[in-house]
Amino acid sequence: MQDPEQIRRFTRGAAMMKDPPWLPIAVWMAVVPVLVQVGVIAPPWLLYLLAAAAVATALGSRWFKRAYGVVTPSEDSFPGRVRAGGGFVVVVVVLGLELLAGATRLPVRLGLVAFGAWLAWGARASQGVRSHLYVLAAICVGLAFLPLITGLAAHRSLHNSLHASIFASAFGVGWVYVCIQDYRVIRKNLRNAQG
Amino acid sequence: MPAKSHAPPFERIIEADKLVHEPARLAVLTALSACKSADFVFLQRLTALQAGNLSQHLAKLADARLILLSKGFNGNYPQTTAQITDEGRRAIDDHWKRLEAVRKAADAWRRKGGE
Repeated sequence: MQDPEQIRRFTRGAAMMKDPPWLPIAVWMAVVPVLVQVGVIAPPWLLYLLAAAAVATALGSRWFKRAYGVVTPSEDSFPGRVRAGGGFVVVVVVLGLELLAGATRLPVRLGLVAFGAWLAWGARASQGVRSHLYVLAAICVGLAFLPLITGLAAHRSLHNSLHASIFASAFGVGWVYVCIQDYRVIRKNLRNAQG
Repeated sequence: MPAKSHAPPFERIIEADKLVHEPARLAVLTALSACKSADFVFLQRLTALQAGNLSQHLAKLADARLILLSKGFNGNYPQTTAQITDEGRRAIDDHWKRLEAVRKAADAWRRKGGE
């Protein structure tokens, strides 16, 4: 990789591509709540498997840093702003909008729309390196309108176990996709020593 | 120096900073100019160099004060982190601008029939 623009874009993106070690949690999210919902596994397994996924994520994170290194983003970049407190603001805004949608009995989960918009912004800021984030953004926005389709108000949707399983599963599938695509981009651009 | 600005493109290539122009160091400086810092493992994977080879390149850049090297630990493992200096940022920006100017000059020279 000797194209300077490619190097710059990838390095900026690499500072944000920390999702691959989260694959076990993403798989758990995609599969386990649905298995509990349809009765394949007992509810306590939800926690046992989450604990196992958390341990795998912690171990995977250590391996990932040792294998592919660490990049600290510059403060003026998108990942830099997220690190500098922008991520916290996003969490507050998303939760605030979820509460607002619940209080006003809107049939749309505004928090998920905001989260999807934030993911899309991240995809755009990555200048094509993480364009796969658009898929997760689209899933979030689609899920935000699920209560509208099913006729449940957003605040009721939050407490409906079937809805919760659908939300978790769909988001989990999108997250698994992001983990895999992040890893593919990293593998493509970071090689083993030659010669 | 007006004489230099009218030099043919191949003469301008000779003016390039050899310290920065070497491909591995160019890749390292370009990557570091796009982030606050990056560790040794990332730079090694990016350049696909052997550890000893990359160490030598980093030492040359650090000696020229184009980057800062710091050593620490990531858990139980030693970790070397590189950060570009203001001088390094200026050097890499100037270098890419110079290469771009050379490319444009070469295109213009070719259009004129290589005279």
